[in-house]
Amino acid sequence: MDGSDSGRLWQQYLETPNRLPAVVIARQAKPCDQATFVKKPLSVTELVSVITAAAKGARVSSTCPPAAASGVPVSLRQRGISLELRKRDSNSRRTGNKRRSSPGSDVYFKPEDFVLGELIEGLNRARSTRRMLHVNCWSSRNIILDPVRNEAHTDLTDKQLRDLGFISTHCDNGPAAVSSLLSRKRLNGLLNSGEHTLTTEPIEAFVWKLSLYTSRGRVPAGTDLQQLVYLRHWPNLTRLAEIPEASRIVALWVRQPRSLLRLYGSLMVRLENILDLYTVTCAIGLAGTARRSADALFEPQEPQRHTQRGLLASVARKLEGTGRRLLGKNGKPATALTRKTAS
Amino acid sequence: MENHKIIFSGPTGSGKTTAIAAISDIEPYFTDTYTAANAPRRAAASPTAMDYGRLTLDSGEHLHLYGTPGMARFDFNWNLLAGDGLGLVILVDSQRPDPMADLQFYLNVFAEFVRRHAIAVGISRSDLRPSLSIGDYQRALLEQRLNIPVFEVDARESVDVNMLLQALLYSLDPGIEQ
Repeated sequence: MDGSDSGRLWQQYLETPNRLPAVVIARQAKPCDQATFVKKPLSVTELVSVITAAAKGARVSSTCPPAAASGVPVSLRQRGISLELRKRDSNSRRTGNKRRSSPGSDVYFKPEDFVLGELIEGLNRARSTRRMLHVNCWSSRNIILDPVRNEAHTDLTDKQLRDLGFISTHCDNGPAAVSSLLSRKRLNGLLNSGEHTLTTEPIEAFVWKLSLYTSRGRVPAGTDLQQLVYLRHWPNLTRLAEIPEASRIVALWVRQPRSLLRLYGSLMVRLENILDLYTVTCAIGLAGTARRSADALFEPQEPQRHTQRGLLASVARKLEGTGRRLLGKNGKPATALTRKTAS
Repeated sequence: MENHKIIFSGPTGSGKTTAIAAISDIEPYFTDTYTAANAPRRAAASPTAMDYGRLTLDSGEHLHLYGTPGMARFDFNWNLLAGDGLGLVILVDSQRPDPMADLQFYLNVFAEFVRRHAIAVGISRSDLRPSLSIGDYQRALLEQRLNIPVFEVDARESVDVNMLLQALLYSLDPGIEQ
């Protein structure tokens, strides 16, 4: 769209009935309400990624990302977890845990519309005041986060937690969750009352899980899929809910900041897995938008082909197969291996 | 075939032997010279030479798994053993007095290897209220410009060991596909 007749072409496109999704490529920013804008120069990989994402309904733009919602806590905005959301059927539990699959379905969600937003905001408050966060769900279930001891206590079953990831906090029957800060004494009272059977896990694992249940292949609204995002370090993947291909994605992403679309173009894994990983790593404070000017100095490198890629792939297949074979019904190894013998 | 190997290293009792046993396709070999001297009570019999296990790949090739002896006095042959191996797994026992120093010791010993190859770190026995979090290890490593996988692992669980090895492989080449 750098030519002299670009305006006419654009108008022509806008007047086309039932038009296909468009990607606008130009040196200067262009109006992009109706299309994805990509600034020149761009690589082939990037172009393929943008086209694929556009076909899937993701709006990417370096000039007009979806605006941040008003009244959103700054802490959330900084983490990129609080931006505009296109309307979706977040109230519907009929959608189950199915992935988005239909082209055109949304890739954004608004965390503050879900318990996740309430939880992260509350956790920040609890951290700053060195108190405990209590989230009461459906007036009968509890989530207690103790940032001092890095513990999350809950009497929600995994299925209930999964459901909580779906439910909007703005439903007609009143708020699904209400949060408040607790003192240590009050927390001990709750824990020792015997009223609730609470399970305990690290806060990071709990927030990761709830984010994953809420994300379902989406990113916080306003996330620009083309903007560079960083991952501070490897997450503790053995103790966090599984995201398919997480190791591959992390291995590339952790090397240097790169855009989510670039990651997708380089690895060609499912876009949903990349978006999920971004959302959950943001939620636990490991990822975010790269704002340092130094981050933009170096073009992200494509992964170099290892001289023994065939061998590595063969080992990876073997490990993947072994891991699955040994998994029992609950995701735990079916049997403990007892081959160790000392001669 | 020489470089089809992955090395497991770490202090005595960190779970090297168990980790190799958890994923090896064959009955692992353990050298039969054991000593109880200088070893903590949990690992009363500590191998003074290496452990060996093996994975048989779909191509018919083998990936050899070597475990270095836990005793530091054998460190003279560790780099020799690592040689042109594919990667290195360092296991650290979180219940030892100074696990961070343990990790640093092994990073120093394998400094040359670490510069040229991929490594992954497994923190074992972290279910027993460890003094350091994974974030603490990561921060220390990042200060040395090492952005590598550091996972909590239970060396008895093949799933954990598998995941650590997969992270190691993808660190070498994220482009590999299964």
